[in-house]
Amino acid sequence: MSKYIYINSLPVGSASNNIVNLVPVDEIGDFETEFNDAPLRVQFTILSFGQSGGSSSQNYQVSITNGMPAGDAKRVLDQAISTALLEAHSSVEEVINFFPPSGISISSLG
Amino acid sequence: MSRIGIVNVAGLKKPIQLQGINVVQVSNNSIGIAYGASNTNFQWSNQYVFVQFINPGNEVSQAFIKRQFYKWLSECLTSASALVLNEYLPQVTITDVGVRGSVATGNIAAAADLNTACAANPNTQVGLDYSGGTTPPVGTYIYNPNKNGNGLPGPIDAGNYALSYNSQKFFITVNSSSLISAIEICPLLLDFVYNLKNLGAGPVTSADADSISFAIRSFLPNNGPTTNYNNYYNAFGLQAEPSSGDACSLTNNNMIYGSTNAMWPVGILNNATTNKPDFTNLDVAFGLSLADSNVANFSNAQLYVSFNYNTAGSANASFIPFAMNYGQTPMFTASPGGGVPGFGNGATEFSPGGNASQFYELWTGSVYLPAGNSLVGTASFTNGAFCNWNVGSGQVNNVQNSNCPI
Repeated sequence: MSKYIYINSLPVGSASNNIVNLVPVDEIGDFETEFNDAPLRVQFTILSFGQSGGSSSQNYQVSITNGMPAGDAKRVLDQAISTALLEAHSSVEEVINFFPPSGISISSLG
Repeated sequence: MSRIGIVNVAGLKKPIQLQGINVVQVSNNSIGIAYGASNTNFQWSNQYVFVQFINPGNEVSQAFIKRQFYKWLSECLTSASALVLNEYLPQVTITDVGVRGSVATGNIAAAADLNTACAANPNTQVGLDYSGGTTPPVGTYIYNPNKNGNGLPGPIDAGNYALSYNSQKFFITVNSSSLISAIEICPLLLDFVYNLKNLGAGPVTSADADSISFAIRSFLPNNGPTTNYNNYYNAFGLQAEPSSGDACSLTNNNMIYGSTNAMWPVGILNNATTNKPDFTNLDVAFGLSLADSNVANFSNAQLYVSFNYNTAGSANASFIPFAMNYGQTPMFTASPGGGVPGFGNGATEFSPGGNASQFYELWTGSVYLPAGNSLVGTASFTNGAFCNWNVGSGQVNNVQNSNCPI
């Protein structure tokens, strides 16, 4: 049975929240909030376990809405994703909603 | 039964997929995990997860690390909950885990302080967990991409270093987790400044310290018969792309300063019959930083460009690497026209109705550098030089002829 994490754009409780995309839990090879000039993006590496050994990346633009330093935003976002991912693996639920921490919003890079 | 294990890096728990593992390779400071049937050799790609750790003095043997990894894997597969690899290897400090897809590279050298770092020429390659083009932020993971010579990366030792990244030098402190914990930008020290304002409207018929000249593909931008370099300047029959031998005849400097040259800017200042630029009212200057300010060699020097050298003054001018990306529009956001002032109409499209995507290709990668003395060190060039440079990075690859007219 497949499991997914739904990536919500805004912190929990936000009125205008929407689901940006989903991530297949059992195919996630890595995740990381990466420093770039944006100044941050979240990247999930999706592994394919077939013969081809193919893989892909999901990239999400990160916006800091409360002025916190990028290093702090990376730390809290990585922790939040880690918590959601471990919960997804151990949960009996097929879908886990992920909400970014306060002060952070997420949009898809496509 | 768990299909994941956990690796804890400085308090961050990362799940590791346990299905589909094809190869495991262990070194004294990293573990490589390859997934997928077709992946058998370690390379940088999305199919390889690397666990990097500090193992001082290699006190923990590879055999022990390997044994503990396999113990962790087997117990994970039969455990109801995910187990933590760190608990199987308490003797080492895990500094990073994850896929290393793309690698931003720089170079480091040990340096005690800012001044030492800024004067250093770092030559030990490092990977940076940073995909931006400016200053890596505090917290960036820095590592040796091939520490063990077998494709497996490893952390670098804590300490102070000179870091060279994206044509800029920094003084950095790396902590025991292989993270940049402090970073200072080195001031840019230019050995040469070529201020085109000093060329005015030309002509430039004798040795001139500002007379940097680039070879240009004169048939571009190829977007119709009236928009290319030759047509724009009406420079037919002239040589915009000379060989080093032609450019550097010591008995005849005609190819640089004379009537046959169509290189930019000196050649077209002298010989164009239409749209000839007047740099008197344009603000564009080039800069050059030698690999070593005390050695008279242009190899590995870095070219820069400034669009405010004259308005801001030499002390406050902003120089950026003279580096171009194929197809980028505008090519230089700091330039008033997006291209280079005085080069065509100063726009990335080069000429009205031109083709912006070919701006990169206009520059052949050859440049004439006049003689002169370093503004920083003792390097002294008694002759001009004809060099090959990398249009994508702005770095001088090699000197084709160091015996050119001054």
